[in-house]
Amino acid sequence: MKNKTFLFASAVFLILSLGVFVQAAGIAAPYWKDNPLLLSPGEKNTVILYLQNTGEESMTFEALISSDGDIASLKETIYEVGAGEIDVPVEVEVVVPENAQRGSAYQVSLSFNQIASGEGMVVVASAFSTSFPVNIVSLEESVLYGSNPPSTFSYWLIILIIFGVVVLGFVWVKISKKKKTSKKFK
Amino acid sequence: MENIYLNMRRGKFLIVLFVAVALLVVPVTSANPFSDFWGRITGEASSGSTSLNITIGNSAPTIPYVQVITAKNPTEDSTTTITFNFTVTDSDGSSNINTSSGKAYFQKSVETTRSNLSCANYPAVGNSINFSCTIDMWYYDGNGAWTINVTASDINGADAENSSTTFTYNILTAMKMSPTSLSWTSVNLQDNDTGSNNDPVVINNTGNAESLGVNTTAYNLQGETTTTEYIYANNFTIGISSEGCSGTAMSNATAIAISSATLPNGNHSVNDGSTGQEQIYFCIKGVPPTISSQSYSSAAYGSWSVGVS
Repeated sequence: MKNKTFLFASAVFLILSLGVFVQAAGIAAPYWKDNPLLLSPGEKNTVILYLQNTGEESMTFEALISSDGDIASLKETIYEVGAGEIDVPVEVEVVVPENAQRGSAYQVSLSFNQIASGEGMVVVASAFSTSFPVNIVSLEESVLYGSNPPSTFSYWLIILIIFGVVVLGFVWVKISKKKKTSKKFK
Repeated sequence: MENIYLNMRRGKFLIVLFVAVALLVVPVTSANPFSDFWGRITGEASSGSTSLNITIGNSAPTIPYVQVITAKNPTEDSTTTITFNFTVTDSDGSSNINTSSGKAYFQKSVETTRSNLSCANYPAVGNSINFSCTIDMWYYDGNGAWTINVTASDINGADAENSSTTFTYNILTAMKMSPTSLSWTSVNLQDNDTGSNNDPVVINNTGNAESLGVNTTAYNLQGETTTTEYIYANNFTIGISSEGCSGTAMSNATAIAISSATLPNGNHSVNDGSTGQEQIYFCIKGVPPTISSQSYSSAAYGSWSVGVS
């Protein structure tokens, strides 16, 4: 009993504290609840968010994404952000289904969890998340409206049509001249 | 003789007549009865007083151009410097523009106005002068559209203003946390409600996202010597009051929102425990009665996380 009491009395569950430095990190986004991304059915857009780390040591984050209808995906999932870096891009590709209903909204959520080494101690890591809605709108209301220049194909088509018209006109003038000449000789 | 008498009488008569006429005419003319004659006929005032303020040869300047500011990201726990130009034009010539009058303001409802009251001027081009303004936006300034308000004046004091444009200040979800690990000096098997000896963990909102919630993911702690023994995640509670022993119970590998913990945006440098700041406390409610005396840590199952969203 004495032994047991001694054992319990001295039972020490020690969790060492070695973390004295400050972690400071975040994610900047161009869209949020009151400023949704506007896309029309079938459109694809890459949204760029920026990871920041103003702390004293570099940090590594694992990114997770979830979205209604799986309309969004990440190009990478692990991001290394050096101390003092404020512009590490996170590219989110958003693809709106062709059959998406105008007026509907899809929610895109991202979370970033710090991958922290923690041997010999209990490490408390940082995590933060952000989200933004994708509102389905008409083509004219889309953020992409007017941003896509006419394709090369369209330019060539226009040039071909103009060329065709010029050739037809030239042929018509030639034929009509020929007709006049033949009438005079008759 | 009779003629002489008649002439004398006529002379007297003329003198008397002259004096009588003079007595009548002098007071009447001195009273100037005809001076208001036109006014009496037409009803118009023939005289009056008025004050005139005539500025000769000055046109107020205008601000026809304000450079577009693209959307800006806040910088975590710091400022984002924004530099832009605007043009002041004065038809009276650029020399009429007060070169030290260029001012710029970034304004948003319920937010503190950010400003530069001494924008730098470039050399004049024609009737115009370009001004360059630099304004710092703080990390806690609200996200959304900010109005760009620019003003200038000429040397006569006539003002020009343009507040027709805006720029977007993006959202930044960010946090600063310290300390980044926790310790308990020692816990005996019979102990209940033992708080960490180096908490609270202070979390600062170093972005401009409003009213963030705080969540924690805890993992079982494994014995470092006898690896089959654990202190379980659900032996811990986390709260916002000292010791945290009446706080929210944890669950292994599950993100759990800390009840009542909120993180508003604001200048956390105030360091008052609430402005842009939250403090959380960690408590061991008790330990499994069968485990042995040794060190337990998170090395095996990974670090705990404190998150904001």
